Amino acid sequence: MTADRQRERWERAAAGRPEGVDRRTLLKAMAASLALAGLSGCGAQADEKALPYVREPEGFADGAVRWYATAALFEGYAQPVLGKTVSGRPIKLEGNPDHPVCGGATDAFTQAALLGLYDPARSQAPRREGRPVAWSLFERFADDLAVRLDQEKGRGLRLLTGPLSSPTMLAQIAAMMRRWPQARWHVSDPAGPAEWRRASRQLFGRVLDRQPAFDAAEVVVSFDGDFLGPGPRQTPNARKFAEARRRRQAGKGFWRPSRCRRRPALRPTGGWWQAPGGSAVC
Amino acid sequence: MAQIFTASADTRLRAAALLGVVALVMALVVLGGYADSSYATLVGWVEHQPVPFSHQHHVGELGIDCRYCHAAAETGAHAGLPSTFTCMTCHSQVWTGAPMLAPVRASLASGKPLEWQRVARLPDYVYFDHSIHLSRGVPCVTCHGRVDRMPLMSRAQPFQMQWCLDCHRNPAPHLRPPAEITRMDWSNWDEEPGIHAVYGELMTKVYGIEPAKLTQCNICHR
Repeated sequence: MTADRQRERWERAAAGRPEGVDRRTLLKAMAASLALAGLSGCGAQADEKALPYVREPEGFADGAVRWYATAALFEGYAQPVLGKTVSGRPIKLEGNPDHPVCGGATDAFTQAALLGLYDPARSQAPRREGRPVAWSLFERFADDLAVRLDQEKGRGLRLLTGPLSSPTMLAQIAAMMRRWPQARWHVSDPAGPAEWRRASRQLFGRVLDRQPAFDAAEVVVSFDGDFLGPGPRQTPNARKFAEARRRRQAGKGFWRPSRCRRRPALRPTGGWWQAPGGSAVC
Repeated sequence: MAQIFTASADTRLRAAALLGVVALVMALVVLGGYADSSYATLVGWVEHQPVPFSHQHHVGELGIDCRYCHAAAETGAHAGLPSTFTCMTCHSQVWTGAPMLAPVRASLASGKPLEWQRVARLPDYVYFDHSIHLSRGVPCVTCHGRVDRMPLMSRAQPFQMQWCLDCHRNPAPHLRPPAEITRMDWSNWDEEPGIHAVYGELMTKVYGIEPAKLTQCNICHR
């Protein structure tokens, strides 16, 4: 969207209620709308179109439920899911029970990821300056851009993505950066573990992921870290944590998670030790 | 103190009240008549379709089974409409150049689906599973009418709740052998009540159909 139009829209919104409409007129209009909405129940059914497939998928039964094994992204990490579809429409995501990481479980964010498919703001076409355009236009634009960037070694190109972990896409971006070395790649990850990345770079010299093996630990000490809290690894973490606790309850192994914390977080009861005084000690 | 109402006020009040009652009754009669009219239920009304498909020709004259095109009728919640590809299994061989079929060829070439107007459909607040009705032996003709006599498709039954309940309250007389559900003409079945009288009663027992459960609200309104 251009700056002019953005400002115009903002000014309109800031002006508030349009002139000449008082409270009484507004209520009248609302009452009329309500009364008319009731009438719509009396009319005959509106015409409805049926659009059958051009080439039907094998074994397709209209209205029957089909499951697909797929993945949903959470902060760039693929969460193994089974998607439930009816007539080609996805309606529910469940954890993939055959996947070793989750074992059939999902978290609330992955469940809610389905709603993204039905987001009215989801773009249906490429946009240029806020206006939807045809793919062919984008292809021509990209071709022209590639020629120019080849000459200038990618100067002025900025790529903005969300967090990514797909090896294919990372390899493609790496290839692009080799071709256009002066291009810049920005990752927008406002809720991501930026501090952890910084810390791991300091500790190990490169950015590494955390894959805590709670099931192999005997003592877990967490300093103000909500390790069972929301995040792309919350499902496997919770699973391994529960497994270790089950083992302890069955009398196998010593398992004593302890945590020093300042803010309240999910805390299973039993076998927990909390530092006295909370924040003061930790 | 002067009189507030004139001598005729009482008469005028009575006349107005009578008129009001008459208007109310008339309105109810008109609304009721409209709701049951074919204008509202669409019984016998032909929709404008992209191709003037004739069930009379394909079913009545050629004898193609319903399930050749409506393949999911026995397995799916919806019977479904045939894909363009299904039409072209025959029409790539016969009537290949017919102008009438130009939209079908265009659909296959462009990959865009044909846009049919739905004829037999229920409101969104009705849960309906096509397959269970067929597997218990409700023949096609019961709801869709004699499609083998319809040059253009139209609704044969009003699809009102009353009509659904008529069968759900007493399903036995409507049941037929599931192997023959696509049969259009059941006159010889109806003419021989002696032989077939007990069929429906027996099959409701075999299938465990309980009419008392079939009329519960949440059977159709979930």
